[in-house]
Amino acid sequence: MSIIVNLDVMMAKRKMSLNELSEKVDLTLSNLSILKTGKARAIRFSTLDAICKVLDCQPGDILEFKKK
Amino acid sequence: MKAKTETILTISKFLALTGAIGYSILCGSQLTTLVASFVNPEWAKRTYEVDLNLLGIRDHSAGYYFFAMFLTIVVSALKAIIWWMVFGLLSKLKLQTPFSMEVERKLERIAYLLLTIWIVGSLFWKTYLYYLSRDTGIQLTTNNSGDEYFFMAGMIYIISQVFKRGIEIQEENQLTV
Repeated sequence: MSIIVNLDVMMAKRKMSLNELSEKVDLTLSNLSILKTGKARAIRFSTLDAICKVLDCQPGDILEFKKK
Repeated sequence: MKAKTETILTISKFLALTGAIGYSILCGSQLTTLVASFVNPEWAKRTYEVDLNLLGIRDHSAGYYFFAMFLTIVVSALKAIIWWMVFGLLSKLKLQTPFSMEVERKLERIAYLLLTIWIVGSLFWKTYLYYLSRDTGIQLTTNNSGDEYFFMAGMIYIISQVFKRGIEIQEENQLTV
């Protein structure tokens, strides 16, 4: 897919672990892992909203479009 | 509602197992009749579930008799295989996640086997009857048209394709975070 998930980059910038993010956004570790590894087929607005709130960033910081 | 579905599933599983054992016995008995009729031709009278007395054909032409028995046994064997597959399918079916690739593959295989039954039991049988009457003058009439298997094959193939789409939707749902 041409959509790249930069969640790991943002987490590194905010010095936040996957466990901590999982607790704060109320999402299971496995679901966050699916998102981080780029295996996710879709992301809910509510999930994106929660992640942006916790990481204090814009959706564009997490999602990126790269032409193949 | 879920308990009711589970009960229906258990009953269906039991019925499928009964059908599978029944058709396996039928196929075995027909095979025994064929083997026994090599020794004693009188056995050709007793072919189970064939409403025809095949002794007349056996006396006339052994080739036609063995071909009739071959078609009958193949159809019975295919029916037994289908029933075993239905039993396997119902055993694998989980109500929590009903859409699995295994179930879809089994459904598709059942559809192909039903199509084979239609080809063997209807097309081959009709061709056989035509040549039998042309070469020996023996007229056999059976109530079995076998066309229902063609309809069933089509229906189950469509269901398997709907299942395939269901698997895609289930996967998409699981990968939505």
